[in-house]
Amino acid sequence: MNPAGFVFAPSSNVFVQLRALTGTSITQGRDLGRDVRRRLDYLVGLSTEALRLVQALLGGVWRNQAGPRALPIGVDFSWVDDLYLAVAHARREEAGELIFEKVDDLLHSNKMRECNDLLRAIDLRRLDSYMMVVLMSVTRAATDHLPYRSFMVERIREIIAETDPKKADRLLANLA
Amino acid sequence: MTEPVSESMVQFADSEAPAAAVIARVDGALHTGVLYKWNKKVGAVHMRIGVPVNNVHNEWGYGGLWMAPDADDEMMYNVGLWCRRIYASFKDSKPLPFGMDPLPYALGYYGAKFIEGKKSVKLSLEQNERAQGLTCASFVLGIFKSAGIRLVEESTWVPRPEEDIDFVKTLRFSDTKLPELRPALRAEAESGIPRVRPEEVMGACCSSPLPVHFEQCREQGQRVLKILEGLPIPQRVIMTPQNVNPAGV
Repeated sequence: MNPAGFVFAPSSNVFVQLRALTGTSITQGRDLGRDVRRRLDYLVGLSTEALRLVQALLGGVWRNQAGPRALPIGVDFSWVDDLYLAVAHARREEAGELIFEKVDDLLHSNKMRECNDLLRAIDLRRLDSYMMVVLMSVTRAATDHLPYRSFMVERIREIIAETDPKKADRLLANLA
Repeated sequence: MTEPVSESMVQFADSEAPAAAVIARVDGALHTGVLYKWNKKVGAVHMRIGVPVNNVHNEWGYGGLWMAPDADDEMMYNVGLWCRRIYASFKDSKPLPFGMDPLPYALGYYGAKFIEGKKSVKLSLEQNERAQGLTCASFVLGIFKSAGIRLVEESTWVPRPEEDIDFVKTLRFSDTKLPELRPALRAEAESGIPRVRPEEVMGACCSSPLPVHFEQCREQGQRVLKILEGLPIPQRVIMTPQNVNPAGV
């Protein structure tokens, strides 16, 4: 199990493709470091985005799917793994301060695009409802600069509503 | 509605509440702030005017009453996070509240909250021209609102100019750099503004559903005051009107 908490056990044929995609020499799962994994996530994310675009062009309904998305290359988002880890181990204070600090860094370096990419890339399923509230709270003032935020908020509503629709309404009432 | 009456007390630290509003009588005047828990420790933030260059504090040494509003744990946890951010933003420079020179302190509450600013938290006055600053009570309202909890329905607030003018007379400013503050506050009070009092913040915390309208806040606030005035002196206990157990900070 890697530090982010999930198992990676692909077939040998997958490694061939991975080597071609990433330009690395990985031969087994444990060679997949954070950087490589992020590159892969990025590539997967690009293809997902392309698919969504096609769907939109063909008149399909745009749906924000669950699951990990691309983390942009060139910006240090390695802390997102730390965030997932903190949430997985119920280290709530650490997780909350991480979101505040890192999102603050992006917003006030005027890296709105990167922050928007972060919101798109973050895997909400790996957060808990506490961190979802923090994420909405800290980004609310920058809503106008973060086009993905409204999708993120709706996704949060969906996830929380799966177990408690009324709670979803309450949590989002003043943070959406 | 939660009955703000109890026969005993519970320590905030021993309670399940992640955060709460707190009220006490300090130097003869009512004062309010926010208690929160972080890494199993109790913290507090509150804002006092008249104490030179130290307006935002992180300790609560006054005893009094505490009350957690009827909100989900997620948002109450978020209150603690905002408290930490707010204190961290102002603890070093200790500016007059939030750089609102020359009037850092103003009576009316128009829905201000805190937002992320440049490397720190800053106050957002919601682009209301009449909003010029905070009181200890609107400081508390602003923190809860930042975390997603609207305690009061400010649009229902009834101006009470005569009472506010009397309130301004009772204010004591030890900072001689603020000679213009009292006449400015008096002018603000005379103009009729929505001032939320400390006991009304507590009244909102005793009520449900949120946000709470003026009349209910006022009514519950009066009941909170009766309990507060009945506390033993010195008021070195923190008690909640809701629960019942022996207490202390």
